[in-house]
Amino acid sequence: MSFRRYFQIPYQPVAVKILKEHVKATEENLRFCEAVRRAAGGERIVLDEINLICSGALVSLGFVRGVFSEDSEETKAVIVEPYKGQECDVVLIIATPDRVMKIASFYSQLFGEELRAEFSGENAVCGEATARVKKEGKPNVSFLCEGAREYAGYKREEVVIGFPYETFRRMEEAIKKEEIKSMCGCLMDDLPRDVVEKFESMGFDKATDHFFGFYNGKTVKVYIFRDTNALGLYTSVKFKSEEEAEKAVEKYKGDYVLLKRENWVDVSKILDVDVISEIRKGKFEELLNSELEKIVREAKKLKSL
Amino acid sequence: MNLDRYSPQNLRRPSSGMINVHPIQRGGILTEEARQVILEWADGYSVCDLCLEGRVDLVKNPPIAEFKRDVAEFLNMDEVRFTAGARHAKFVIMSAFKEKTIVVDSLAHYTSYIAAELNDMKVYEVPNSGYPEFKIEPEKYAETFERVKEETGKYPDLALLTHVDYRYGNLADAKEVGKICREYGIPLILNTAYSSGVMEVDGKKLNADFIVASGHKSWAATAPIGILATNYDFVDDVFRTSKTRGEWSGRAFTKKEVALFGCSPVYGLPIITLMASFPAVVRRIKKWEEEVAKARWFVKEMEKIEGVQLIGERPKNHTLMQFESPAFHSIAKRHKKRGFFLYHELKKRGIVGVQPGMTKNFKINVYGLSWEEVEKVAEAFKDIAESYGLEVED
Repeated sequence: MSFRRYFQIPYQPVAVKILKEHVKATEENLRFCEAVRRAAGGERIVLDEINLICSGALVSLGFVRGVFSEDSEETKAVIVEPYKGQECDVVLIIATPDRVMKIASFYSQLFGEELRAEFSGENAVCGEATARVKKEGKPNVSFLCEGAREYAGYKREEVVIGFPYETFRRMEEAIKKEEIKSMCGCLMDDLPRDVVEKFESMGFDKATDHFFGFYNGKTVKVYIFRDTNALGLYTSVKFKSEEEAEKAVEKYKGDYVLLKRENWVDVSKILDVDVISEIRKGKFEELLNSELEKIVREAKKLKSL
Repeated sequence: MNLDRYSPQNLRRPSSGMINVHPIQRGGILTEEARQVILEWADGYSVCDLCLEGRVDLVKNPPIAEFKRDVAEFLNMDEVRFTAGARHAKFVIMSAFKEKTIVVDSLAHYTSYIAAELNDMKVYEVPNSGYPEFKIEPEKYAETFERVKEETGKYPDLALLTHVDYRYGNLADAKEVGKICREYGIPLILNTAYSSGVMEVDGKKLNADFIVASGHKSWAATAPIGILATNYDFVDDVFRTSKTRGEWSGRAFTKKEVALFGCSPVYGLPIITLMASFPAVVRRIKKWEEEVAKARWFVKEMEKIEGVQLIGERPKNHTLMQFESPAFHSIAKRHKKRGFFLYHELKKRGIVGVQPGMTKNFKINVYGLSWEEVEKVAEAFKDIAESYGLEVED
């Protein structure tokens, strides 16, 4: 599946190639942003110093040097055409904010970093989404400039994202290989992300409704109560028979709550702490480890009864 | 366009000939009787040849109108309609309670929430007991009704209980919940997607005002088909008929039921297979105890594997179960197939239905498997565990 189809973008991605040699230009005077918009509709346009009629774009794209710019003026032509997998410098996407949101989520999952938007509202498609992206090797979201909105026909709700070619190619590859997957779409709880990450960093895995992991060779489970954020700690002891389990429960003298269920005895304790706030205060790990130590010890004691 | 991909050779079922333990599949396995009639009724709107009344539930040949009454009797309810699934049935009921308040159990299927959302209802949840049993205690319904009253100034308009939930396979105490709802005067929808059709469900005994069922999950029918059963008290509201009249033509459709879109879309194989399997369904619910016995035996065998433990209520009262398996998950973390290893290993042993990628916890339904097949599934898990160095009790 292509990038365009995956994100359901109405326009085609646009490949921009900046050349240091002369190529015959299109016989029409255009702004760069205008050329990009037309390329998104399927046209191939070549711009040079003569038919590119926006002075800002001439500077941004390196045709001419700005008054205070240190960049050299090496560009002789720019090819702007629909992206079909060809090598280029930058790939531009015209999209609405809701599409950018999805692209950003995909990008951050794939590359482990956020998609940035650095923009000034000037020299936008040419500068912010193309020249800067080529130079810095990072994608950027531009909210366009007056010229683009006024003369090139971009709609009020449209923005442009520029991707370095390699980044875009990698995203297309990830889409084809289905590397980024959304599962069934059912959110089973609304635990904050930092809380889930904290448990994961401590070696716990997230199950549907709770966390589980190992402590001193024993499986332990942790459940956060919805209403109070209190912490439930659980482990289980398996006996050979229901009778053995029953006897062990009768002999037990500790403070933990025991629940015999067939030949299993669940050992549990509810800690009256607000897990979410404890995690955010940074004192949680020590507390949890100490409680796990105790519950595992208690379970082993129960097993030996 | 490559049309070869749709050739019969390319549309063979990958699970063909294997034991399928997928939780949603077991109760929907067709009976021999249903298989016998499939080809004859496979064409599009096949049951509509002799439709004189304009509604599938009124068709006399094949005997759908009589079947409707038989299903009502079987569920001990008054009136029945066939729908595109249990979800559609819930939507139809809730459409008579538009913009009102509903209380649902916190293990309810997502379609319960969506049906409510589609009808602009405000949803309140009955909490479950949390790890490790995730049970719905009936008295929590009363507490939730009171909470709704405190927050909104009046009791809710409707309640829903999932008889057997799809996550843990817990069998809720429907009778007790029904009793509480009766006391408060709040009509109760009982979602029996995983119960009626495999075990006895008596609407009157359970105090249910509505029963919704899934033909493809539990009544040995092809999808998509569901059942909506209710009592006479609600017929006029839920099965209200069309009042619209074309402003220019004057056309009206007064026999068509609005919430069912006039005539429910089960006009071919779904309704035929539901009917053909019905005698077997009526008989098979009497063997439910043995099905539960198989499930309990299976739990014992699975728990012989190091680190495998049933979650949800114990002992099992249903054949859908969820296991927690940290040891399998540890293997997945270092296996080149990652979480898919378990799925592949089971497939090699002729078993499908455990969700690919799941190793932390997985769901299985053993309903309708023979004892030999249940043993085969248990042995496959134990064999996989041993081959990866996990301890398995003798």
